[in-house]
Amino acid sequence: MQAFVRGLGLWSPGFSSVSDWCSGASRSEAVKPEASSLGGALGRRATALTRIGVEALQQAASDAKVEVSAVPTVWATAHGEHETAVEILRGLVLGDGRISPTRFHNSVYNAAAGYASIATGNRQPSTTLAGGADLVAMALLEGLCVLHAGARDVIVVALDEPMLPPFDARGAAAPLAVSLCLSADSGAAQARVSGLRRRDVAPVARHPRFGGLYVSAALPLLEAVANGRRERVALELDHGQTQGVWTIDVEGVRPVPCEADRT
Amino acid sequence: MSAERSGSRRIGYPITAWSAVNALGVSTAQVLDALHAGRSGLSAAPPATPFATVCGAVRGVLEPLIGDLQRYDFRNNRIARRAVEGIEPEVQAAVERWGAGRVGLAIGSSTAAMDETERAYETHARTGSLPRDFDVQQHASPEGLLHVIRTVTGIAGPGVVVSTACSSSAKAFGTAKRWLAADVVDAVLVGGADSLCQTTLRGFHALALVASEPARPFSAQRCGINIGEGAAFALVERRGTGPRLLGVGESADAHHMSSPDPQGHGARHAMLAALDEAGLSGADVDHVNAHGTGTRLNDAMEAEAIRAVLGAEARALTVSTKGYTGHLLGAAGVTEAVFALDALVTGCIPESLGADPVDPQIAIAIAIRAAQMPLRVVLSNSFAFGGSNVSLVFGEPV
Repeated sequence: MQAFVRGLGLWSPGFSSVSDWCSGASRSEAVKPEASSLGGALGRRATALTRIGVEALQQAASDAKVEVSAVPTVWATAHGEHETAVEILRGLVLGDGRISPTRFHNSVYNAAAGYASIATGNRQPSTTLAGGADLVAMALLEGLCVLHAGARDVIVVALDEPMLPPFDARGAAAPLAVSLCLSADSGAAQARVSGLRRRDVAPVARHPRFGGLYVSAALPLLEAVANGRRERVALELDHGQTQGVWTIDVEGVRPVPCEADRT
Repeated sequence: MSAERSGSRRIGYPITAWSAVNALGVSTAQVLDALHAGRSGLSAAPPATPFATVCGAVRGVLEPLIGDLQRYDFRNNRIARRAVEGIEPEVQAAVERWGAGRVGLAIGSSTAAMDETERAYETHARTGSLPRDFDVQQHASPEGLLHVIRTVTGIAGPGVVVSTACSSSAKAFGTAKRWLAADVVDAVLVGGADSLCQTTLRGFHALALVASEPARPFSAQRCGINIGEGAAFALVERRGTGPRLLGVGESADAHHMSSPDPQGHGARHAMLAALDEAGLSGADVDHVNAHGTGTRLNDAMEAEAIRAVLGAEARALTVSTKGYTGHLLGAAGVTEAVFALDALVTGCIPESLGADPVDPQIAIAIAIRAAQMPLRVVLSNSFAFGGSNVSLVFGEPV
């Protein structure tokens, strides 16, 4: 299976776009993204994780020039709405034991998918995946399979936030959402991706900012696409893999200079 | 694709084995016996529940996970392991037939091990530390559930947890079907698992949806939902013997996070998409296993959508099995798929427990009594928070 990458998106505090990230230095003071499609009422109810996911979705749609209200979506999050789940736990154990209805429906793993669908009027199929260290690869696989099943475009969004105390933060200091618009159609493509499989290669080095956040394993892929490089990229952080590491081959179509800080 | 298509009618993929564990029993045989007998599994809610309700709790002994899986020894994983053991020979045969790397795993779960995380947080509040070895990321998580089922089965192909709330494990069939169609795998173990926890019980209560009495979907006397727990699995293979997964239809409401679109646009679209993929029309459907939660909004919307898709004159009997098990949330889709597959094979449509007297506004045929008849095509619906809809079509081989 192969696909063309037509658009990218990224949001993490200090980095409001893929080009911000690729410039290697924090450029923005924004602590939360605009996620303009959410608007007022939905925007006030949306969680921080949902906001960054919706922002990444919008960026990829806009970059790819696909209609955000009509594109199927695949979301991937290892821990889902973790902050909201901890707020619920705090209320259950330390508070009055009640749960706010909004907080409850905000706690589902598909909250970002739901808010995005409602905000943009998108009735296309959408799924939300969770899993282990290979989550980014599994999300790309799902995206490729959605194209194989007949969709012209699909946007894959991977998003996670650091764990809160008392749970182990795994060295992650910041949330991250990244997105790719995959297309069956080569028109306006930035890169071609193919050959998604496990190979005997080194896993992705952990970035100090994101520690063990599985979704950060997507960053080398985004950088390779943005750079227009021809490269085989790993899609998993080191997790004691014994059966190889998921990889994908990237072949740039439209080179754009990018010097990411990978130290 | 020619292997999966015959003329205009698609032949889909055979489901060669299935299993379920829930309030009706700790083996598939116990579960289906209770279903056929019209016996509810609903019982008292967990003691920590601060309001009156009944729940679909798994009763009976669940063996602990030991050895390498000791750190995964949570109720959710115990229930899932118990359920997958019910089809262990068939899963082993598939792993040998296709190779471990050509068998995939797609499990639906909405809470993973939230009950255990609640206990761990409470322990931390009381003692200042989490229970020894407790790791929410690796063990009490979707990742942990995947690891347990991989370890028990030896499956080494792609593996995901689908987490779209109450449609999770029905949507896992969609992932399975796409993987098979793209030739990524030759078989997929589809599953679902969720265990009772205070977060979901109190969360649904906060939405004023929880019934104090046993749920009565489609009844004039319906009073809301009961929460249940359980796990179920279905083995979908490229070739084999069994009723077939003919179509999966997915859609989004784009309406509200926790209420269905009263117009039922998304529900209708999911059913029509599933039938279209199967090469069938609404008139071909012999039986519907509804989402049927027992809330006024869901039941009215869903019945209207079923009527629109099947036709006003349709005589296909619709059942909600949530009066037996409660709402299994992330495990509901595959559990109800197992009930639909059993109906196809046995011709037994269970009584829609508690539906009698049916709400006069529900304009479809509800199975107020159990029925026995040959069934060729069965449809099963699941709807979820975020407006996530999925409809599955199963049928006998043509």
